[in-house]
Amino acid sequence: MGQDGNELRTEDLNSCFKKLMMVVSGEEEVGKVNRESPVRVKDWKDIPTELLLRILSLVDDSSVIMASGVCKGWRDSIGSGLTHLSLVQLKKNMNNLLLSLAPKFTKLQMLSLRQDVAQLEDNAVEAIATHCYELRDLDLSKSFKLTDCSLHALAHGCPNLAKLNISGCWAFSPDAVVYLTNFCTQLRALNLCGCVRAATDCALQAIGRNCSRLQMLNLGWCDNVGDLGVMSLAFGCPDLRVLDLCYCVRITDDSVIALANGCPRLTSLGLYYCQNITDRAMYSLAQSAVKRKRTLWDSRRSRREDEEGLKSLNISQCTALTPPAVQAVCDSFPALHTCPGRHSLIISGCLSLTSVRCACSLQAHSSLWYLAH
Amino acid sequence: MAEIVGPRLYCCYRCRNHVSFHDDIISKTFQGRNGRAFLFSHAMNVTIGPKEDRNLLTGLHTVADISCADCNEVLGWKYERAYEASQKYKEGKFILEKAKIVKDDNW
Repeated sequence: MGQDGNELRTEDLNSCFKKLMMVVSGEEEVGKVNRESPVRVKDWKDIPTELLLRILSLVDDSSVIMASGVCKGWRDSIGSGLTHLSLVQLKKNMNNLLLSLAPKFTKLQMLSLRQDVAQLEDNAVEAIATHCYELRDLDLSKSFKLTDCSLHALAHGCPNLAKLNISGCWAFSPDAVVYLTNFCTQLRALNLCGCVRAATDCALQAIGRNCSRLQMLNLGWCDNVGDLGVMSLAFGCPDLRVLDLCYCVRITDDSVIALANGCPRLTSLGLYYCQNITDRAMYSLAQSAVKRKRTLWDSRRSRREDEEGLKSLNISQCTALTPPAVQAVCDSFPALHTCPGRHSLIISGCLSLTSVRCACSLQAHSSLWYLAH
Repeated sequence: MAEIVGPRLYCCYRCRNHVSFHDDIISKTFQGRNGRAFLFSHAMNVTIGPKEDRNLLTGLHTVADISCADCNEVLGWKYERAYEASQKYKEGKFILEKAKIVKDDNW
């Protein structure tokens, strides 16, 4: 095989093919398994499915789509095995392409359709929902032309949905989100960033009721979210690990206290511009860490991941917070850092909090002091 | 390539070397040598120069000029020591002048 792909001629490819001359075991015939009689692979169209898919896993998605249009054999092979597809690079015609691809690619588990210019319409999502029953991970971000019909279709068609990204789809209503959660109870990750209309306390209550496996939730810029919703979430989703409440300006300390008590696995919390948050919330976070450590010692079953606690906290613009309270949080969570290179405590706009230090930056400071003296 | 949404970065205006995160801005109301400057809690890929005492608008400070690690353009300075109690919060922080940094293309 030549090194430069451009120079490879059709004659070269065909002669390589003939040299390979694969001999594969016969396919199952109706009524009997015939493993003895070999089937000669005569042409590119006869290439075994696994081999074709293995080759296609090395190329970009537009080539995979082109390959599925080469001949019936390849169309069926690819359709029976393709599990991951991304159409993110498409500038136009994404909708029509999806309408034609959905019936072919019925085994899709992961589909990424994030757009620069919103093109996706309800009929394409309905087609996906009708044909791709095994869909687990769907990214529809920035598809603001979609209406509630899309969510209804997904609810009926894709019950195994585990990850859904509908950030930027501001046309959805809260009822549609409630409807979706009634059916898609296996959701582990949900991104509602920018879905101002849809992310209401009512919707969050539904999520808390139905999606107990939820680990990741993004509610960025959803300023209709209030304490009632977040408290329902904290109660209903004990496995929550990542929660972004960026610009959820209505929430107060009660939300954070509920999360501190209800979600022991929380590793990342975003409270950007949540200006109602006071030291009370910080102390509750610190105390929850102490309580958690105590129960782990008692049960003697501490796992590495359970011990980590908060790894990332964003309290930018939370100007009501004072250094002692935030320092208490930093002291309780050893994975929270302020040292350069891996700082994870974000305090943008909080001049008074610049004195808060993680344990390792203090250690470095004191060892330098000893060196100097 | 697929559009990847990531952290908002600032770059050196000359060579586009990543120097800081938008999330690390403590304050936007500082004065640099030639105009507005931002106070950052962290900076990366910068070389820290020799320390020197300077009398700034807010009093006497020990500062060290910071320059881009790739093209050596001076981008601002780092506060090493502040001599007045009210200015102590700046110690260890970085000033990057607005004119010397640009937003990375993605935002």
